[in-house]
Amino acid sequence: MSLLAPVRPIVRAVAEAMVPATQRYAAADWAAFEAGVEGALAQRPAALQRQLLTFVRLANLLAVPLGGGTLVSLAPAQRERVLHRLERAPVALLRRGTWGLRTLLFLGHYTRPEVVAASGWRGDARGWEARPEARPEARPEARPEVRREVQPEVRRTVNPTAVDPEVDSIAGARKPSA
Amino acid sequence: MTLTRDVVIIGSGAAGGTVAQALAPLVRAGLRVTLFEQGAQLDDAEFTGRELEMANALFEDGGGVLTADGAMTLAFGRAYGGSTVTYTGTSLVPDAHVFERWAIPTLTHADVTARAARYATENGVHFLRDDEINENNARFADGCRAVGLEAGRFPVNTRGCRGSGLCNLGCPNAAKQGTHRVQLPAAETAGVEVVTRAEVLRVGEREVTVRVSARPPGAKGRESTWAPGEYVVRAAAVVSCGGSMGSTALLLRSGLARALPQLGERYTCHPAHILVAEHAQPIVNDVGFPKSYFLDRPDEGFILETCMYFPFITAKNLTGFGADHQRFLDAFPRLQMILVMAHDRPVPGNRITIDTAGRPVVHYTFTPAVREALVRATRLSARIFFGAGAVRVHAPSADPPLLTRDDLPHLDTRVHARHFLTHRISVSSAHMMGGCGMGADARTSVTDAWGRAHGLPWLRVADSALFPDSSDVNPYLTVMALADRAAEALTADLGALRAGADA
Repeated sequence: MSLLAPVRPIVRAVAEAMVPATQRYAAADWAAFEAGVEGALAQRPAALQRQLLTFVRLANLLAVPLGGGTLVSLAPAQRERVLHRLERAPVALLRRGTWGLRTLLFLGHYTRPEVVAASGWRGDARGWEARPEARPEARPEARPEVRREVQPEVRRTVNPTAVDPEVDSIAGARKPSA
Repeated sequence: MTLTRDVVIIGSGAAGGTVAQALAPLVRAGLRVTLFEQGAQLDDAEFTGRELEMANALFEDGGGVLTADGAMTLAFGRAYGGSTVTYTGTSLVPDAHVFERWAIPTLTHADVTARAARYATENGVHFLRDDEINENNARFADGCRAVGLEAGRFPVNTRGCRGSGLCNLGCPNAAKQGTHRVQLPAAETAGVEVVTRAEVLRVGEREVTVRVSARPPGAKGRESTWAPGEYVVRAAAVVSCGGSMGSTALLLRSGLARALPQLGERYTCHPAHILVAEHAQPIVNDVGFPKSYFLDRPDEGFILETCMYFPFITAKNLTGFGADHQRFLDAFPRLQMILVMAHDRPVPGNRITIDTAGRPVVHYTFTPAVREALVRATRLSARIFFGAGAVRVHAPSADPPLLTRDDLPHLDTRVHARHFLTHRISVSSAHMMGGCGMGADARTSVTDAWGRAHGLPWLRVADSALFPDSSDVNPYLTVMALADRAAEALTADLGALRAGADA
C-alpha cells in the first residue's frame, strides 16, 4: 500500500518548491520520484513514517496563516517562502520536519539516474580508465601548480619511519600545517 | 539451539576483523572461535557504486540514522567488514597529546603507533602518487598555501586503486583494504567461523543469543552459512566489536547497566559539515581518490579534509532548498568540497541509550565549543576555497549561506555561531566513539585498558566504544590497535577463562 497516497498532492507541491526541476516532471518522472521516496520511507520505523506524514499535513495547514493558503493552493514561489519560514521556525520540531521532508524529496530526485547524469557527476567504477582526459598529466594547463605542490616539501612534513618502502609513515603523517 | 564455542566475537569491522585474525593462530591449534556479523557479505560484482543502492546495502538504515533530537545524521556500516567497507581508508594515528589526554594506564602513543604500524603495513598503507591527485584535492593544497598553511597528505590503505572515487559506497574494484579484504579472509582461512546476517540480541554470563536471518528477497549479499533461527552460543569469552553504537546498545539491552554504570557515557563523534564551493570552470572532482589531503588545527578544535560526495548526499548537506540550492547541484563539475570535523569532548548528557526495542539512541547536544569550532573551520575553509579560485562558497553557518569574494573581509560576521541553527543546517558524523570507555576505575569507566569489562572477566570490548574521549583523527587504525591489545589480553587470559567456563 502506498504510504504517500494520502498526502501525494501536498508532497508534490512541496517538491515543486524545494526542487524546482520537479515542476517540469511528466507523469513517469513523478512515478520514479515517488517510488524512490516510498522505498526510503518504507525502510524507516513506523513511528517516523507517521511523524513525517503528520508533518506534511501540518505544513499544508500552517501555510494558511503563513502564506495565505494551503501549500497545495499556493504558487511555487509562495510555497517556497512559506517553507523557508518553517525551515527557520523557532520551534525545533517544525525545523526538524522541514529538514526531514526536504531530505526525503532530495533523495527522490537526486538519486534518479537521469538526474545524476544531468548534474554532471560522472562517477564510474573504472575510475581514471574511463576518464583519461581527466588525468593530471593530461591537464597540465588546468593545474600548473600541482606539479610543484606535491613535491618534497609536503613529504618532509611526515615522519620518515617507513611502514612501507613506498611511503613515509603513518604516525608522522599528521604533522600539521603551520 | 544451544552451541558451544571458546570465543565469540560480535562484529566484523576494524575491531572484529582484528581480533579474529589475532586469534587465528590459536584456532589452528584447536580454539573454536565464531564471529557474528549483523550485515551481509557482498560479492565483488554487487559493489555497483550506485548511491542509494549501496547505501541501503552497506549502512545501518541506509546511512540515515539520526540522533534522538534529529539534529545530526550518523553513518556507520553494517556488512561483512563493518564500516571498513565504507570508510575512505585514510590511515592516521592520533598525536601523542591525545593519549596524554585519555590518560589510560599502559595505553601510550608509542604502543598504539607500533601496533597500528603493523596493520598499516598489512593493509598496504601508502601515499598516493602525484598523478593520482585530482584537482579537487590539489586545489585544497593550493588554497591552504594561499592562506599560508601547509596541507598534509593522507596515507591511504588501497591496493590497485583505479580512482573510481566511490570509496564511501564500497570500493567497486576491491582496492580498499578493509577487514573484508585482509583480516577476515585470513581469519577464515585459519578456521575462524564467520556467520553473517547474525544479530546478537543479548549477552549473558558466558553466552550470547543470536538471531540469524534469511536474505530478504532482492537484497544484496550472500545467504548466511547458518540456517535462519535463534541460537544460544555458550563461550568462555565474548568480545564485543559492534562499534560504539552496537557494542554499547548490546550491553545495555543485556541488562549490564547495573554492573557497568558508565555504559553509554563519554560519547563523542567528530560532528562534521560538508562544505561546497563553486568554481567558474569545471575542475576534475569525481574521478580519483576523493580524500588525499588534510589540514589539522588541533589548537582551534577541528580538522579539515578533502572529500567528494555524490549528488544526493551533497544535496542533503547543503543548507536550504529551492532555486539557489538547485543551481549548486547543477554545477557539479565545478564543485570543490571540504569536510570539516570538530574535535568534540565528552560531556555529561552526550551519551548512548536504547529504545524500547533495544536499539541504540544517541543523545547529543552541540556544545558551544563544538559550534565555535565548526564556525572557525567554516571560515578557514571559505578562505581556502577562495584561495583556490572558487567564486562561491556554501557555508552552513551563514545566512544566507552563499558567500562570494566580497564577503571575505566580513567572514567573522557572515559566518557566525548565531546562524548554527540545528535542524536547519546539516551536521553528520561517521566517527562514533565511546559508550564503553576504558579506564582504571569502574566508577568512571566500563573496561580496563585492555578491554576487560570491570567485574566481568568473560566480557571484552575491543572497538571504538572503548575511546574515553575523541581521537581527533579518523579512528580506524586506533581501533585496530586497541583491538590488538584486547586480543593480546584475551589470549593471555584464555586459560583461566576456559577453566572458569568448564567449572
